[in-house]
Amino acid sequence: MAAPTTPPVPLINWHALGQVIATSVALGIGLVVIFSVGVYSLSVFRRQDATIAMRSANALLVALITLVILATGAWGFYIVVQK
Amino acid sequence: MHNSFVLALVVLIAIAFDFTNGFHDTANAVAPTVATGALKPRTAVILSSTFNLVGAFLSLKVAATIASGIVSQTSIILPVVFGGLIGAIAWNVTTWYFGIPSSSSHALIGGVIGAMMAHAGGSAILWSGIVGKVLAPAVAAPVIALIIAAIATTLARRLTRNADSNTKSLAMRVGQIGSTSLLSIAHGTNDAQKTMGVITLALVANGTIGVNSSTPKWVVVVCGLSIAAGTMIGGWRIIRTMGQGFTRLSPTQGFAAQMTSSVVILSASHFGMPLSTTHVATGSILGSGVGTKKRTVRWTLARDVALAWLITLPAAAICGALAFYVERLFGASIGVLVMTLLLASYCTVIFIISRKDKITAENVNDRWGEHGEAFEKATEAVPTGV
Repeated sequence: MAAPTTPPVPLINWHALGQVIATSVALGIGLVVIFSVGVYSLSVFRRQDATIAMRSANALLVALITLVILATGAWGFYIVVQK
Repeated sequence: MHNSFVLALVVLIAIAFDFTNGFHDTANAVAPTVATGALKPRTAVILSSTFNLVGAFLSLKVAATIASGIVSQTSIILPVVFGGLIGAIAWNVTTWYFGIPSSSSHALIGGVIGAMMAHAGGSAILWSGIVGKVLAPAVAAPVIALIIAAIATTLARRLTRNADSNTKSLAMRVGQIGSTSLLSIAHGTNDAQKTMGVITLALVANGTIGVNSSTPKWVVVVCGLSIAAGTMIGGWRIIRTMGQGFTRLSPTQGFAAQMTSSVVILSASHFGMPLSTTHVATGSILGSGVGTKKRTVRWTLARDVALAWLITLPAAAICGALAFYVERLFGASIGVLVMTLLLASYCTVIFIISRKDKITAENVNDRWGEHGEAFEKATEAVPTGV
């Protein structure tokens, strides 16, 4: 009976590299886009001529985006700590 | 092997490496923050230093390895560790003088490879590990970061073009401070642990502690303080290159670059891909330049830095091998002492030369070209379609 052969270890861990690229593209671009939308909303919120409805909607959006950004930051912190 | 004198010098040199690692890599976390004025230079390095210290204490799963998967771990002896550290410090100090952001981890790996080749020959080097753990990530890291940062900057610019400029500038700067903090924590955790691992390995190799012993508390404290002190000094020359050299950063660019760096580095850490923080941060800053309307980047400077990355491994390896041969020539104790003195002299000379044109917190943001830098007008990049 032939001895079981172990598959050769690839020189480059393509799987991990692919995961890094996919996550980085999604989160890197996604977070910057979300933050930018938040910045624009904050700017609208601070306008003198903004109606109460506009202010309320944008304030809600800014709060939501702040929460998302803080949660992502906390996730990043968790990754560092649990290593 | 029990040689307390050699061990003491190895530990001292490891702490010195940790210190150079701190000031050499400060730029990765703070350069855009300093360049855009999100924080004053001194405030930025104090913040980064504090989070480096915090990071050093956060995770203590220290592995007593050095260049794991790259050199045969069974062949590692104290003089190899010492040679590796000498090579890494020599290269770090040299690149600092020229303001080149190069990887401290690659310098350490190069130094160890050189010392190991001098000790046990090429058979002790796991060449496939060099390709998979050093060369491929060195190519991938800046390219990934550059593309993501370019897209992110373009989108951020377009999404906020109608926003009030004061609000935009303030919010982007706050975002930068957050990402600087996260990057600094990650740096403190990853890089301080590397040195903790090296010192633990030296203690095990010397028989001071057992193979299965955990890292002594004093090692953790000393490494954390050392990297934080290095960061506090602020590697202003490299901060200047990264903040002013590659491109002129706006708060939007700075935010996009730092967010990209944070995400790529943390993703790589999560999925076990050894990407260099320096390579990622450099790629992100270049990408943020490509993402501007005129896509202005100093590509000649980027080329020079890439060239330095290419020679980091062989240059540190030559220093590491030389250190090992000197140790062998003079015998362990005297050899280690001679190399320590030579390294101290070299660092002193570099420091004195660097005083002729001091880069400090006060002038780090001077226009590029005012401190003897080869001034190259930032040129427009080839449109990437983003």
